Amino acid sequence: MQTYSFELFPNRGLIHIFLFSEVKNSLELRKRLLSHDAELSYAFINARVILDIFQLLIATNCALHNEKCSILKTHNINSEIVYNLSPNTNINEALRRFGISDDSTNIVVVKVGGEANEIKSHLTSLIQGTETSLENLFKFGDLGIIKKYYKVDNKIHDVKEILNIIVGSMAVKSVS
Amino acid sequence: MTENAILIKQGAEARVYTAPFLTKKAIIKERFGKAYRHPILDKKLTARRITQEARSLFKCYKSGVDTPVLYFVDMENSKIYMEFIEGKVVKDLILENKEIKKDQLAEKIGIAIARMHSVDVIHGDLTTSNLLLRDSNKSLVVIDFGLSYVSSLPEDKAVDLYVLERTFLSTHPNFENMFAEILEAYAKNYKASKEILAKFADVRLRGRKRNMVG
Repeated sequence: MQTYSFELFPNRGLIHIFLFSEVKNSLELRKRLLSHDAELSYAFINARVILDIFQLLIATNCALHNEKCSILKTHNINSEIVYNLSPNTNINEALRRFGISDDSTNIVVVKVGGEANEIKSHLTSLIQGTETSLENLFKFGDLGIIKKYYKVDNKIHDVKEILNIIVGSMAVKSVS
Repeated sequence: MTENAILIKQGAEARVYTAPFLTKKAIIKERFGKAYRHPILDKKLTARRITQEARSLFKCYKSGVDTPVLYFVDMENSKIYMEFIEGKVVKDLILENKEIKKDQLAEKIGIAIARMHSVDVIHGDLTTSNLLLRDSNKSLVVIDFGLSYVSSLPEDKAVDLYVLERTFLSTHPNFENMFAEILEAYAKNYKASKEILAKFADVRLRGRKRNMVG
């Protein structure tokens, strides 16, 4: 787990990010998410579309901004985080590509606010999987899929450059 | 804005700050309204310029021009958040006239403009103050897309080049041959440059503004 504070939203509390691997109950989790189960007040993200934590921070920052300005495009802050990971404005596609699917085994969880230990114990009761250090995040990323979703030129191989394009395409979405 | 923002530049159109942003150091460019404009028009103009700047910035980065990375666009507060570049301003480098390889620098500038124009981005304010050299890898970074727009007209691209030439004539009068080298690299790296360079010759004769007849 890692915890971050967001400069622009000091009153929104800390943002906690978790990584779970070998998850076995994605099917159940997704079902509960679709039925708007209030207990699952987290952003569940498919780890294979994440290249770097900064990508998650940018999406969360954008979601918090939309929440503050009352311009959320989706139901709540959690789905907004998933939606903001996408470079385009198709909500359905964003949730399908960046949210978890029935067979996801590696999952990133973002939680805005709350106390770290409480969240951790709640998540370990919800998710049948192993909590893993976020340093392993890059191992679960699928570069081919990431490049496809963010329309990164195949000639670009430098991971830093790919991340910069990802971040830019998320940021430019609000003015596209 | 965050408490830790430091004002580093105040212009006629915008204020520029540096501040920590999500584990990195960022530049925040805040556009402000003009009291003398009608409020509705003012709002629309500011919104349009932020949109243009953010789009051009990202479009250029994507097509291989080194620019600051776009982090976040805050339309509601008229702010653009982008990467803080650790580097030196090309204007200062030329004025100091030391430890720089001018032919290499000219080539980098020519290539950057060629790439920018090949995706139809017109910078609008090409001066040596808006060009930086990154400390880390000596890559040439184009900044300040505040006056940029998209156009495929050779005329607009020629005027872009002309603005840069004027900078060399006024700010770096002893380095006019450097501008010739920039043009050379531009022509070499941009297939469609022939028409633009022909237009450039016209623009040179008449100046930046087109004569309006009728």
